[in-house]
Amino acid sequence: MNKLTAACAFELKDQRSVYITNKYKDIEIFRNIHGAVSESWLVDRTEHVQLPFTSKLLDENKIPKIDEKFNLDLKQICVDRALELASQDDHIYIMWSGGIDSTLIMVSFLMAGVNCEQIIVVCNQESIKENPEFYKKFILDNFKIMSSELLMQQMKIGAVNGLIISGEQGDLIFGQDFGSVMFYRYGKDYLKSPVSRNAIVKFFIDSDMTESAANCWFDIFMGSTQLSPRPIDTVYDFSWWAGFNWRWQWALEKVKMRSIHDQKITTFFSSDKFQQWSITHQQNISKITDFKLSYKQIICDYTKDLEYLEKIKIPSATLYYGANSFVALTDSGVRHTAKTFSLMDYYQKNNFIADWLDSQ
Amino acid sequence: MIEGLKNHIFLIVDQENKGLLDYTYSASVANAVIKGIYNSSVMLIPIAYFDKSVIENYGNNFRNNYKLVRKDTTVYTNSKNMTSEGNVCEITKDIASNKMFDLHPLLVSESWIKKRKLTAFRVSKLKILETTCDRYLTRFKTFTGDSFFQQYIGKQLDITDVDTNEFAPAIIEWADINGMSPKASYYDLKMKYDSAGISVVRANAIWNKYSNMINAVKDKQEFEKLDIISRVEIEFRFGEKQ
Repeated sequence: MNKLTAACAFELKDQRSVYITNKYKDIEIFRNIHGAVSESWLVDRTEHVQLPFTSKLLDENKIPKIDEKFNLDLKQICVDRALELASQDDHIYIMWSGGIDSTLIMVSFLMAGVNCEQIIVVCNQESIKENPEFYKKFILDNFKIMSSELLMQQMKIGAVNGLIISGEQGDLIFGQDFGSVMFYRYGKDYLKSPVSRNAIVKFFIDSDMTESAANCWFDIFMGSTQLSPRPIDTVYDFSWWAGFNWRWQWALEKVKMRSIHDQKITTFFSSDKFQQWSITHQQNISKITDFKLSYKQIICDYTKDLEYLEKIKIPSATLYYGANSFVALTDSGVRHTAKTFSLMDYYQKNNFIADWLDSQ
Repeated sequence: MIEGLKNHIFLIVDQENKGLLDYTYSASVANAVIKGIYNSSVMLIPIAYFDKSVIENYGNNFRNNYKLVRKDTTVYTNSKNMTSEGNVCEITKDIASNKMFDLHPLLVSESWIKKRKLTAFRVSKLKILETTCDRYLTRFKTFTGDSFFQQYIGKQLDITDVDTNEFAPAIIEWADINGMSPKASYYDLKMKYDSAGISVVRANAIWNKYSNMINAVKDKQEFEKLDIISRVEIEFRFGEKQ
């Protein structure tokens, strides 16, 4: 049977969910996570925890082995990655949302001295609004520009000739997703506190999850931490793990879901070197602008715009996805539309949550 | 460009008894709702003709009912009673001299009240849908003369050949004023033009899909079961290929 590499759980978010969750208590707990993680399809990169729907971890998304000798600095990693990607195709489409991650991608290509004629910057008015100075000084007059809506439309019909590069996974390198919500909600001391059931369950319950689901999901996330390449000691480590381990595959697959067939799509941050850097560098978050500070420092070194260090991160890439999408991808390459997809076809009764319920 | 504000109101009028089913300030909401209510039409009327207290809360108050009347202005012809689209009202001489249109009390049946309630319910939901579309489209409104600009610049982009450096005059004008090369001007304008055009088509398609869905809904329970407003948000943000 096919396994899902990514899916949208619409059945668990509309009127169909009433019938499903009345019958399947494990799915009721499963769907609760949408309070904290709204859209993502979670896949365990350690393959330790089995959720209620059969998923497949793609080989390219396995966690790399730790390189004990790893000592590259982030700037070098960025330049190396730009050169590596530039050598893969004559046409490079960079999805520039104007946010920190995608601006770092642009700076990386500029620092690497890649031929600008090779690059098409994909953006829209929202990107300019996010970072107008960068657009004016470094994009206009240097690169071909294409609207993000047009790229999405062309992806949908499979008409893109070149390598598409997304800034997804940039958040996950930093453990930002839960991290920034936690920081706003409870402050810096919470992030630095030892990870504990009490702390995380409180976060989940405050994210509209039930107490039972909050406890179960704490066990789900913690269940795989024994296989984490870095110790999960603090709440912030937990936040990093939730993203780095659980949301990694979704970050790229959700872009692939826009495309009618397999096209050359990758994320800038998916290289082994970025992952090694993420594993070996813990962040010290004292204020909200500390998130992604290392990215911002590289950008500032290049642009000389010191105010950028105070930029806070908002989800700027969301407007990219305002195009109709397939709702599920399988490991055999099948793309499902809303009409042809039934999530329940992928239900497996033997799963971590069912076992957890039995043990209560 | 500079279209100017006109204080119009769009009345949803029953063709059978000329009764006022509901009203809205949006022409597109009015035109959408009449597609789902049998024998109804849109009548555009200057708001100044009506006492505001009569109109306000009409969608919530089903005790008072009105019909739309128009002054009999015929002098020589005998066409005063002809009802057609854009002219759905009762013709009367019994109307104030300074008005062309007015609302007069109407005696109604229970079944007509039911029709009125359904119209008001759908109008309220279509307004939410239209506001959602507006919210996603607002980002494309960047200049007071957008409507002329967009159609003109589209033609100028079409006649530009960036590969051979042949630029239309408007592309060069944009470059000169904004201090950039014609090539940068072309890409800047093309990106904005495509972005707005594709998004407007998309928003219109979503409006069409969900306004039809709202027009098939009979009551609040059915509306909530279909979870239409959440689905619209999902469709705008993420899309859902059918």
